[in-house]
Amino acid sequence: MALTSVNVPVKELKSPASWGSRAAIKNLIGKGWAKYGKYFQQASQTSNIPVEMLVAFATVESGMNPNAATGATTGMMQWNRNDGYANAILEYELKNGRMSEAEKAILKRKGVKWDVSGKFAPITAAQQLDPELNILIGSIYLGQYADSMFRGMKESTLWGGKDGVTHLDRIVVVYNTGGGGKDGQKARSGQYSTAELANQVNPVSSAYIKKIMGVDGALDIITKEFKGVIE
Amino acid sequence: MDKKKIAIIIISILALGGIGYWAYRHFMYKSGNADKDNRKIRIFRTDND
Repeated sequence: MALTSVNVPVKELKSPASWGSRAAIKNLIGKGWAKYGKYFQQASQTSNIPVEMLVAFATVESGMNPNAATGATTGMMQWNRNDGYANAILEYELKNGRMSEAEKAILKRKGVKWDVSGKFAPITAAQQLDPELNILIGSIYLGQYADSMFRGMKESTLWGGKDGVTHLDRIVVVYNTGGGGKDGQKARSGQYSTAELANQVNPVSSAYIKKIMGVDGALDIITKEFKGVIE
Repeated sequence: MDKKKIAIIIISILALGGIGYWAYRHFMYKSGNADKDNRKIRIFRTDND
């Protein structure tokens, strides 16, 4: 078992005050967990991604709101159904033998279809709004990134994690930007520390790292205020 | 070199390429599955609370 760790909060980073107070973020997380906790736990089990991480991403992405929408970027985990990545992520997972029977069963139950060659039918807007399905697919994205997989290939820089460390900052940037642009390439180069990466990427991704990993950020709040509950 | 030899060389290259691609996919499959199943991420607090 390859054990890697994430250490939070990163003391050099502070969650932006404009995102909301610690009490307000705690309230969002608490309400979201009460409604959707079972789906986060399920996705954590199928993806092997810690439930705290999944909740943190959903808190930053949608404020734990399954109806949050910006065009085709919708739902709890705010992936885009039209940019081709969501279908590609599912196809990589299936073709690389990573998709478990439990994940297949949930996808089928939610009406997601794929053919014998492993090609998936487009995810519909209604499917994307389903919190259980949205969290599951988000967890598959994060699982591939944690394993340094990009567009179906495991990359030699092992940017997602190695030597006992999961590089959550790099995973955040790839999740937020899609990973192919300048900032995604910086993250995938594996050359920068968390603070260096946060200082070099675009303002949205920089704020995202701080909201996830910084003082008063989502993981700081989850691991302290929800200790023994969200874990 | 006659046409027969050229055809044999081309077919051999294609066959080797096919075997190589199969092996690549086969081992990538194993590797991807193992990564997911064996990964264990723990979250710790820097203040050890």
